[in-house]
Amino acid sequence: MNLADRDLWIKKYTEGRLSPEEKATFESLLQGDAGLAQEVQEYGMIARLVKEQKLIQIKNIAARTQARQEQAALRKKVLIGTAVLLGLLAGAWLGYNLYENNKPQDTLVPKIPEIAPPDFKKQTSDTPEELPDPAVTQTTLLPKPSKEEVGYVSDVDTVKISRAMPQTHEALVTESTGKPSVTAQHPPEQVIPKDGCAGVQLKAEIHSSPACTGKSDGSISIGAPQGGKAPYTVQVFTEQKQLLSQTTGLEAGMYLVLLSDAQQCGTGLSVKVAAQACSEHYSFNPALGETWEIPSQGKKGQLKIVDKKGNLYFSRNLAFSEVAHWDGKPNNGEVKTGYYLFYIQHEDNTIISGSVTIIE
Amino acid sequence: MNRNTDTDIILAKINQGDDDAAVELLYAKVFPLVKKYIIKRGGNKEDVNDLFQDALIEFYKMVGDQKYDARYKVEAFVYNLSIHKWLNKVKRDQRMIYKDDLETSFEGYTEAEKPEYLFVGKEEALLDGLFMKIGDKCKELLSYTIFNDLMMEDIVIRMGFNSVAAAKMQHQRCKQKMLDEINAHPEILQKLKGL
Repeated sequence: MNLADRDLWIKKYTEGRLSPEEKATFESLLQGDAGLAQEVQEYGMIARLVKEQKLIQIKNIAARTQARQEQAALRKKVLIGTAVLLGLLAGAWLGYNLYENNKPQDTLVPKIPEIAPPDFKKQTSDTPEELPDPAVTQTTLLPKPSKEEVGYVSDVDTVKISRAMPQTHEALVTESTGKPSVTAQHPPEQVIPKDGCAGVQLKAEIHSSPACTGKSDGSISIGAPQGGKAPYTVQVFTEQKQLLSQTTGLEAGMYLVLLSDAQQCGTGLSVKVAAQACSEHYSFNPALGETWEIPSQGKKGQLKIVDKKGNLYFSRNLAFSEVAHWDGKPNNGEVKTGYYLFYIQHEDNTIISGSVTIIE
Repeated sequence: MNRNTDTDIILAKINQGDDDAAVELLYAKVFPLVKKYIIKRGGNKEDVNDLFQDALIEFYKMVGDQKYDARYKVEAFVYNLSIHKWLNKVKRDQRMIYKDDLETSFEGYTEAEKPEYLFVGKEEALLDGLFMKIGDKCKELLSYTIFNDLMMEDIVIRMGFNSVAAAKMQHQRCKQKMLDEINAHPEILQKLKGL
């Protein structure tokens, strides 16, 4: 074995691609070389993970491609159906017109009513009625749309999605013109520029609600798209590129919203579901043997419980995957009923806080 | 060997890591034929979708294990895989088999079990998190060496390294990063040690 090709030998051995003689040689080397055996084991682990990740990726791509194909097939059916319906309507209209034009005329001669000649004398004493000046056109002023109705105008040809965020969440950068601008966290991941999309402006209001730390209660809401050509397709993907079937019950993180219209003009926007510390409130009665299950979420961290004055009542470390309970006893002394605040800081710097009341 | 151009394109896309394009091409070229075959023989849309996806994943697994037989054109291979899976399903369900299908042969092929995933459902996020930590460059490099089995010289060109030595050094660093992440996640280590 050429040690310069050590990696190649390890790879081939792990994949079962050595000939029987080569395999025997390699295995005899393994027995005498603990380092080599370690490398083989490590390579095996890495290779397993890389291949599995690839297969999961392919599974997700296949699911997305299937969903896209089904949507395209549905759009095609809708288009064909609409075209057939329009064709029928056009045919009916043409048929009606043809019938009207070819209808046999009444053979009776209509009676021409007698018209009295104008009285010229009378006319000179009256002010002649003014005829409308054909040069003056009548215009109806349309009411200006209110601020709420005004869409967000894009001044470039590619499509942009406007976004308005509630004040409780991260604010958008607002330009001096007063028009909110889109500030993407990341550049759009997918732009689908196509001929025929020039000048298309798709608009949709997107709001995100934060998720409590460690929970999946965030959401993204997307208003009715406007602009372009209906029907629209709105797809929301996780960072792992999984297509979501619903946009509620989301964990904190970045999501990609793809908006496209019937002509497949569209773009994507990264939307953040922020994490926020949500207060949780608990109570228990130690006198009845109750304990409080510490909501550590299985993460390593530290718990602190303080009284209303901020004095430390109890603290402990939390281990990874530990399901810990507290019986209400402080670090020193006996159980004291009352209202306490708890604060858990995890190793990954996420925080859970709230209150726990010891009752009697 | 003369190859169909589509086969060359699909394999090139796989080797470039452009799986979206490769899968899209297979769905465009092969899926309609599989669908027509299965629907005509009493299958439904779910059967078509599931079996084609299984065939696709099995094809990719064979590529990754360097077991893909170069005798077959990719589209024909995936098509035959799908049909073979359909026939096996029909036999398992003890439904009628059309006589002409019995002649369908796929020389040397034995249907593999569905790949056993270590990470299922929400656990996939664990795996994704691990690869996010090592970064896209390492993910790409490890995928090229382990999955696509590309030579270092090839990788130097694709990824813009200065030399083969530089690529090998980066490869070592990426492997070490992976190992550090595996060791930092006991739950992942446990699954791998359970193999």
